[in-house]
Amino acid sequence: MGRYIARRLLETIPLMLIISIFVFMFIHLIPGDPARTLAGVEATPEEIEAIREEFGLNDPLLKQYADYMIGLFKGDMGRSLKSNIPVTELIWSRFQFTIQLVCAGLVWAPFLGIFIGVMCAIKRGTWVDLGGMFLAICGLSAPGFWLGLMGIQFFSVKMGMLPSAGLESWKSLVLPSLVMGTGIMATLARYSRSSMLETLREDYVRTARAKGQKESIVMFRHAFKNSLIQVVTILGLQIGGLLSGSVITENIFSIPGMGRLLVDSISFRDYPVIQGLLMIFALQYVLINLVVDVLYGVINPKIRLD
Amino acid sequence: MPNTQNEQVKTDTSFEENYIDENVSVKTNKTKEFIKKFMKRKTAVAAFFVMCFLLLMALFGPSLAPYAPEAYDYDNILAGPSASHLFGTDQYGRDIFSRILAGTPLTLGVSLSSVIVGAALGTVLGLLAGYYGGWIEMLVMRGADVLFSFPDILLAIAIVALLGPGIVNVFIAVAVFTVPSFARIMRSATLAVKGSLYVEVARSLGCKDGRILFVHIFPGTLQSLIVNFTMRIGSAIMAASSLSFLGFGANIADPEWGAMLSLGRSYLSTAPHMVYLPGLVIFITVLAFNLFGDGLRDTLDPKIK
Amino acid sequence: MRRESSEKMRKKIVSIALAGAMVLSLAACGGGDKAAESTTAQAAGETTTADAAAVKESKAAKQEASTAKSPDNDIVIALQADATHLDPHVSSNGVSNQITNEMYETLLTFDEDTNVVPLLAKEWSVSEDGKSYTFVLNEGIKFHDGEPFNAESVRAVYDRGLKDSSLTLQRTINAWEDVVVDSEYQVTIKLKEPNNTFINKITQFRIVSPKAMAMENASDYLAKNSAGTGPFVLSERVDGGYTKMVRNENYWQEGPSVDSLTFQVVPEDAARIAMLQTGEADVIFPVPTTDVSQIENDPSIIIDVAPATTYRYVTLNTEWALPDGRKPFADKRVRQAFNYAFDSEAYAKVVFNGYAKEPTSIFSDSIRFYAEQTPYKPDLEKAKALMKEAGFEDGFDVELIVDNTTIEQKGAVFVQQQLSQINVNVKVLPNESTANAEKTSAPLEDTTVQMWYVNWASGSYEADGSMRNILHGEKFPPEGYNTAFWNNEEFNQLLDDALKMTDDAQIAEAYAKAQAIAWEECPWIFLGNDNTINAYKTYVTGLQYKPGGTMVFRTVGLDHE
Repeated sequence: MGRYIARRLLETIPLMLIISIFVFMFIHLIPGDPARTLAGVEATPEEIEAIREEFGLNDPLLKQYADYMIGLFKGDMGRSLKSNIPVTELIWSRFQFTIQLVCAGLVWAPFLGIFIGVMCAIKRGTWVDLGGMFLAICGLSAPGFWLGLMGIQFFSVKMGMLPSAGLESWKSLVLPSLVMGTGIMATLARYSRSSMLETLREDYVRTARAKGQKESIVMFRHAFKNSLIQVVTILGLQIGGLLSGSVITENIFSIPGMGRLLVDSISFRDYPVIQGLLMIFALQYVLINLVVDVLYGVINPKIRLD
Repeated sequence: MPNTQNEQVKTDTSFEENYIDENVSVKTNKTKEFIKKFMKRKTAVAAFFVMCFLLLMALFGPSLAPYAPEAYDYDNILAGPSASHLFGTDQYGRDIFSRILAGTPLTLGVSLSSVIVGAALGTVLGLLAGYYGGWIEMLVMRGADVLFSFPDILLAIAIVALLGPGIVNVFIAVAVFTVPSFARIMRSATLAVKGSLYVEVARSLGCKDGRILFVHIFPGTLQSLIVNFTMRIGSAIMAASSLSFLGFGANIADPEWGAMLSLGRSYLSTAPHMVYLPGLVIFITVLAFNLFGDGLRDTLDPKIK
Repeated sequence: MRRESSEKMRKKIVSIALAGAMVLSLAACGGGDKAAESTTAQAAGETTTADAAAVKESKAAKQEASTAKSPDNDIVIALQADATHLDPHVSSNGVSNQITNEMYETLLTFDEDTNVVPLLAKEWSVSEDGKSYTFVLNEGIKFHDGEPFNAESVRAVYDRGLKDSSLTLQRTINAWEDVVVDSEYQVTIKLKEPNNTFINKITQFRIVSPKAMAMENASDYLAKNSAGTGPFVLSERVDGGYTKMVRNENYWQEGPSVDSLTFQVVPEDAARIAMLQTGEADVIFPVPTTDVSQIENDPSIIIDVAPATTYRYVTLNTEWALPDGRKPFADKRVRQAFNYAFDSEAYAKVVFNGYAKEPTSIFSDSIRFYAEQTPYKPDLEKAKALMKEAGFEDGFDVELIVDNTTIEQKGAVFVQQQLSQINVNVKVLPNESTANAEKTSAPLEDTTVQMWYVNWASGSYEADGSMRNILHGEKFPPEGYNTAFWNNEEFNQLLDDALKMTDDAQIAEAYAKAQAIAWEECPWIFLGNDNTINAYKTYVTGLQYKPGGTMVFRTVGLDHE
């Protein structure tokens, strides 16, 4: 087990390196002179030179990258051009909000999704199946910003039932969590349905049935438990979707998380912050997938052998 | 938007099983059979018609619009849906229905063209990676991994952050965001076909690589390509309109659907039809493409369902 | 770059908040009182819809009738945007000031009617030659960090400005010669030459504890701690999220009764409205004009409509040439035709839902030395005739740049629609404000700006500040924002002379002439002034105002359970 985890960890390192190069190059990929971009057009030549100095833009690229990485390990990602606050500090202050949102989405959506999927598989071909799957594909196709705004219009503006902004109480999490979770619910419903149908065709399920076990026991002890393993892997990938969903959700509901910081920073061309955020988003995603992989290995020992 | 990547994941994994059951070549008699099977899926057929309707709308809609999209009427601003204005009017008294019609070529055009470009690039990379293996495969797959580590529209947002806002940059962003999923799927499809007998035969007969790739392998990967392609259009519309919604996309003066919705949110409490209706149109469009893609996949893969 | 960005923000100022207000002796200020008084009255009555007046009237009645009570003693204000930085010498845009002014105070401040009134200084006098101003300070005031406030602390702020040229504080002190400490509670500021804007600009000179400013990373410290003399002390802040302050228990004069004050950033318009309705927020700012009707009948909500000091206009680049080499905006007739083609009444109605005023000069009538001009009444025939005379009967294609916020774009598209009536085909190009700042700061030889939809407010509410940076011939970009590249010798001279004058009558005459010239020459399309609209719950008490509808929370309280 330890070896498996170690191997997966090692595999992540080259990926993280490439990502870091990609993010590092970001500022150099912007058309034009990066120092000039950072300084702004009004800047005097002296100011541009100062920027060049500050960001080490005169050094060879390799040294710049090394410095960037050393900074990264020390938790130093530069300062915001807009507010002059250290990027790490800025992102950290926003981090909790995004995590709250992600959790709010995860609290209900996967369970409901799996429930719908399993029900559809059991009632395959009936109106339950049709309705459930239609609901799922609608969930996949509805733009989050649309759902969110309709939610505000209906529940906050019209009914005055739910708060429309900020994250003060559990109530203010209801609407955002709805927007965050819809996609994940839909995907898991679709996925668990097909995975369930597949397991139902497996030999051991047939055997169990042939042995005359009760249908409910066949369904849950044999089919459901086994199909769940596959569903868990998909969940990991879905969290990535949640992270990016937070960009829209935070903007609609005025939640000061990382997603809104990203949008604000792009509008302001606050490159150090954009760079930092991209790095953090990618890091999170890679780590989540690592965790899921490891979990998967724990649940299903077969996979560790390959 | 948490959805866009899901589809890719789904096709990605379900592909292998698709594959095992299917014969490698798709011939004309098979096409007929396919159409026959597909016609049985009523939702997918309905979706197909909606899709066709949307495409017709993109081609002819602007000329059929009851009003000019820019025609303003200051005495009739923010009016709700009525007989004379089916979808109501906007903040200048412009007819929203006409603007949605006028915006169809824009919205669909950007999404379709970016998926086509992204799919073409991704397909070529995937084919090469799957066929040659080695460092090409390593490069392509690691590249895809990196792009995948910016989940979903984050990648598109990152690209727009780099290039600046604007519809052309949205096109580029969505195209790039489409590439890795095709590269991955096409690679695994290629791997599966590569080992098949007739490719072996072709190779032993001394066919050139290029010929083997495009004449023998590519057709075998076609169905996963088509399924993924349809699914990605939905994602692309969603991504493009999300970018416009965030203010990174289309010029707000243009009747792009996401941009219309974005403008409408200032009137959410007084004229909610400005948000509801453009959103509904985006929803139906994405739904149609997704349902059609589902139908395609189910038809091509008899095992599930 | 910090300076540059705040400079950009400056153009976007909707209103500038200043330190705690004291409605004190109007006499302290001198000549401008009458003008200021009458303009407020005027503005309230003349707002283009009757709605605005009705709203104002119902205010008192509502407050009487309402029995609503706040559930707690913590006031929440939902704002559209966040401060860029809490160091009051770093940031200078409207929202930043709104927030920092609750923590930092100035020697003098404004009352609601643009009069300069005492704050940290209890009185002041000016020397005969108009070059030195002496301030007598209030005694016994302490900063949040316990340091005493005295003449030395005034000097220390000046020193900070001298040392660090990147601070926006620069703009306040650049005309100063020296700051002399006369005694513990008396300080004299010496100017390089007489300057009629000084007394207004001193209201932007925020006093920070010398101890905090002496720190190595003063700005970092001030981002997390307040070190002013104001009624509130910073307690916690999430950048882009909220800024929470608690009552300053040692405040030197009558202060607030609320326990805490939180500025929450809520960019979404509908969300701010909903928050006020549900009571999540006690005050919201600004209220989008389209949403006024949504809340005006709510018995627990009061709406205040204030005349804005922000002036909206479109610059016409007089040097811009068409592909065939002709320069349409070099011709005064074309510029005038644009103004005759533009219906500012419809603009107020469509873009601001009636909460705006037609322009009657080149800056807002709530600014001192405003002189009324004859409006360009919409007259398509005349506009077309002028275009024909100038040889542009068939119009031309032109680009209009604008910030990509909803309200700005809405206005720009309106301009586009209006000009289409005289065959001018306007292409609206919305951009992020930073991108526009790059374009508009390019010098004449590189500029790509043809027309620019923009607005301007003088942070210190003075005539010079309302004209110089955007119209003076020496203020072509990158020096200023004169993107009309309009250079009128007489106008320039009038501005330069007036700056050094000390006699109010003479100053008024010079500025009146200058306004008449610009009005006749039309370097811009004159669009209008929109109102600033605030809304709050009936249980909010003691709310005060600054010019331009800026709220002051110095004595704020909540009628709570």
